[in-house]
Amino acid sequence: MSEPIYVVILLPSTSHAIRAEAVLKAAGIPCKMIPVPRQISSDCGVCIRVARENREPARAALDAAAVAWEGMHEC
Amino acid sequence: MIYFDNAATTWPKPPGVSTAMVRFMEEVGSNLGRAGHRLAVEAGRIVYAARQAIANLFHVGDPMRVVFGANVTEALNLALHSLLRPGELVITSSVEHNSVMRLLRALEARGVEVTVVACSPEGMLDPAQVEAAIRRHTPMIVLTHASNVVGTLLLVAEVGRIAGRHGLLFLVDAAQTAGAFPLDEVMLTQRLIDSLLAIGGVRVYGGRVAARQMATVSFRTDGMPPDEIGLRLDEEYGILCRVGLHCSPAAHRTIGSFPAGTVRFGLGAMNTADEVDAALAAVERLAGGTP
Repeated sequence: MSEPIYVVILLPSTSHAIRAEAVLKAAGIPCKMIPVPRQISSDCGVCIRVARENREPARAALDAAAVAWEGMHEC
Repeated sequence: MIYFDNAATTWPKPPGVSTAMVRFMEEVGSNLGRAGHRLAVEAGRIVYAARQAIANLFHVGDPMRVVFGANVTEALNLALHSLLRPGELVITSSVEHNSVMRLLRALEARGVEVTVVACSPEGMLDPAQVEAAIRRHTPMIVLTHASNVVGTLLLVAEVGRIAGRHGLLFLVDAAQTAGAFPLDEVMLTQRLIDSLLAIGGVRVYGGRVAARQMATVSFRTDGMPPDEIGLRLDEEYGILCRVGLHCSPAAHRTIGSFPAGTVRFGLGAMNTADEVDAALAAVERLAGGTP
């Protein structure tokens, strides 16, 4: 398997994902909303994907905005 | 046709409402929170935007704390049935709509105690009486923001501070007030109250100052019962209002109009001064017994 280049951020609901997307965009962190990869979670719905190098800035931005996130996974 | 039943539900709906509904049906129509395709995400965005708009309206900091229900009655059921336990004491007012009062009576049958604080005949609630009713086993105060019969605003901010001081939950039934901007309608309401008072044989219930209430006015005439006034306003004048007890028998007992009830004019943002004047002329004719 090739070196992971993305981090996906799992969130409790679609509304949380939309809120997270708004927070990351406001912080200038490129991101994309994608369906949750099945190897990561059997939950339905969408998650947020950011570049691997943006993992910590994304975490900081979400925590600063008090957006609850459930997990971050490289893929 | 003149629509004066805005206290039940507003009409006409702003055009944006039907536009948004049709757009959803025709262009989105998807479930949110399951699939990850673009329509599911678009449905999620619409709901999130609604969440945010509602949070802004109610000054809620976190839009995730907004919980949707099918309507206010369902939301009140959810809150009261899930938060109150047998042996607890809940406090409310004597001008509540049946969507609160009947629930509390049902809960009473299951062992929840209910204290109903009496309002004045104008529908005013004394917050000090609410505070005096609090006991050790009181977890919640539930209050309507405004009487759906006479439009009187209850002092929810003050009662909210009391609830906060005592660490209680505070449930507000905002069916009459949320999203309504009484300032726009104060002038029309005052015109309606003043002119009704000037008509002989008409009794106006509730307050006299439009700035202190919603655009809802209840009245009765000496010569004709409310249901007949309502029928004749509809059939002869095209004026649609609501008569009787308005699902709030307790409020009618409070203001002294039980059991016959009142004629209720519920004005809305879409009503005009001409409509109010036309309605006043109709009431004057009916009150005077003119055929």
